[in-house]
Amino acid sequence: MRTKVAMTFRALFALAAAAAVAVGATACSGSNPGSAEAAAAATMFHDDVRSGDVEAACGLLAPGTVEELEEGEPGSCATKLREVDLRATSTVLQSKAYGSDAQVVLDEDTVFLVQSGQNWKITAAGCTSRGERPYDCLIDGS
Amino acid sequence: MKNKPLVTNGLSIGFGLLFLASLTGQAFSGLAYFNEQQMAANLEPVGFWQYVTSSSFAVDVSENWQSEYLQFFLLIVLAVWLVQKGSPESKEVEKRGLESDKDQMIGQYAKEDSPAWAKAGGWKTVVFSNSLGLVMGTIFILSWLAQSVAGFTAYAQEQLENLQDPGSWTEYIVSPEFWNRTLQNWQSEFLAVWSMVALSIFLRQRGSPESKPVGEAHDATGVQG
Repeated sequence: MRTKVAMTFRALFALAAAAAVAVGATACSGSNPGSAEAAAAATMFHDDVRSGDVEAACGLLAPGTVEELEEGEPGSCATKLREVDLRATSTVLQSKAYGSDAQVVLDEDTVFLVQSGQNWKITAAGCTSRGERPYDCLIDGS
Repeated sequence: MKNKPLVTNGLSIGFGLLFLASLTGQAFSGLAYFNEQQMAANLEPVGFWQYVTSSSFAVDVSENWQSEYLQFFLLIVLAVWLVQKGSPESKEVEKRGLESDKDQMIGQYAKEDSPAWAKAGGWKTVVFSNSLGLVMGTIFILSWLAQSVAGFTAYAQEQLENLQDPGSWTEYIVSPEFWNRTLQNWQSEFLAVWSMVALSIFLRQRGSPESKPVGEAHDATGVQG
């Protein structure tokens, strides 16, 4: 009788261990974008703006940010983006992703991003720190 | 009479299935809620596997684990010394404390079918004598650590949404936000245990081992139904 109880518990334990391994394996195979992808998106945005490909840069912005930038003039994102005085950046200093939001600190800018499907979209750029208060951003769709 | 394993393990299996069903429900409702917010912001929705492997889901799943384990850990350990006359959650008033080796059937008082470490004596018996508390306490500490990581992720995400710096985990665990979440969970668990201990003195649930037998006196202690 004791052996049977022990066997049942061993079986339950094995089942729990298998479930834990399955959960762990699933967690490692997720397709969520991370901080490296956020840094790549922020760099690409700055490269597009610097090279004058503002249409491509607009494609990297979150829809809410495009709306804010266009200020009620749909389709004017590229024109408006040309007018923004973004400082040229060359190096990624730090990239952090938490849940569906990310922050990329570049040498001359700080960029905020949000997850959209399997990609990152920029919610704010041209941001300056104000300490405890929210960043002051030239492009802001938060 | 011999019963089938499904019957003899009904309580473990029942709660195991309830846990899995709730977790599955949480995964689907959490995905729907997450995508509702994505759609509202004109962002692309995420898929099921993408959601269940995200930190957003991990945060929601592990949020309350620590307080549940703390509740059982404290009840198991404190009930060694603290008693409540009339409650089936308590042992008899005279049995306060660790009790004798004879009462606990350890060492030379072990029975033929006692677990090996109860018979062994020495450190093995000491460890085995406290194994339930040790394991529940360890799970509590680990799940509290998990909650601090999960809570920090949720807090950092909120900070980023507001265009603020996310801060660090070490800042988070001394923040009012972390302690507010923690104590909010703890007080609700302590209230539930207190209610169970006190209400079970005067109320009954026929057939439940969590209650005294229906006809048992209100002041009878250490009796299960």
